[in-house]
Amino acid sequence: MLGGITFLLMIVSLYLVFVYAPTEELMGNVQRIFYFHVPLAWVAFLAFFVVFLGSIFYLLKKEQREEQFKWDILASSSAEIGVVFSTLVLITGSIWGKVAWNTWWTWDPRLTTTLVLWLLYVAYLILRSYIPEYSNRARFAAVYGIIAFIDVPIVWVSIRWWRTIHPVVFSAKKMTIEPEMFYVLIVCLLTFTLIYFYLLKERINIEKMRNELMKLKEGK
Amino acid sequence: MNQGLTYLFLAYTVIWIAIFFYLLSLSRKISTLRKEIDSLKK
Repeated sequence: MLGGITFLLMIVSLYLVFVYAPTEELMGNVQRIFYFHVPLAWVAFLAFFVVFLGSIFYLLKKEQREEQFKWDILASSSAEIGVVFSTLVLITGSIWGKVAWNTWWTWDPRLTTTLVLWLLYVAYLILRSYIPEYSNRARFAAVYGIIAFIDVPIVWVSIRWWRTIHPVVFSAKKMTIEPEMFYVLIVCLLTFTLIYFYLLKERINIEKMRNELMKLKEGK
Repeated sequence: MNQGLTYLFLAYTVIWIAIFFYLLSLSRKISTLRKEIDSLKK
């Protein structure tokens, strides 16, 4: 059901991006990268926020092993998806930058803080894979997941706090894009949010199956 | 303009390939785990 709705919305999004959305005057067609680049970044932030929440609840549910296990699964699954999407944010941003700034990479505050964010969560996944004992792994990951989240609001405010060449699309004072472009962006944001929940559901299923398999092996 | 289209195509191709392979890896893991669980249950 969720997969079907997501697929349909993706078709609608592609139609809106390539047919309905007007061509931007200065950048031309390459500006259309924006309609997927921003939702990719939104999903990465959402995924890392879920890691943050999962980590907090893991530490709060000290005496309930089953509950702890669920929150840890949620956090680790969301971190993996967040890394996939933040990788795509960096790649699509780099492609956009090549056209807009004539360079694949520049140490701009937004780009640098996003790279740091990506490294933090890659390290989170590596940390998890290096600690063999489950409760130690989950506890360390939970503490790390809370601390690493500090970089998410820093990425968000980086283009407001520091001098930057990265465009500011959303500001409290005014909208910097045309209404048609804004509607397309909203549909794309919704589509990518559904993709995130679909992937999260599948990823959590894998962890549940791994747990079931482990119990079956222990029982034999 | 043509150069812009090339970069646009490149960006969307990267996105689709990455999402496709991630989905593929998830579904492969699920089917492998399901087979192992079924064989242990028998």
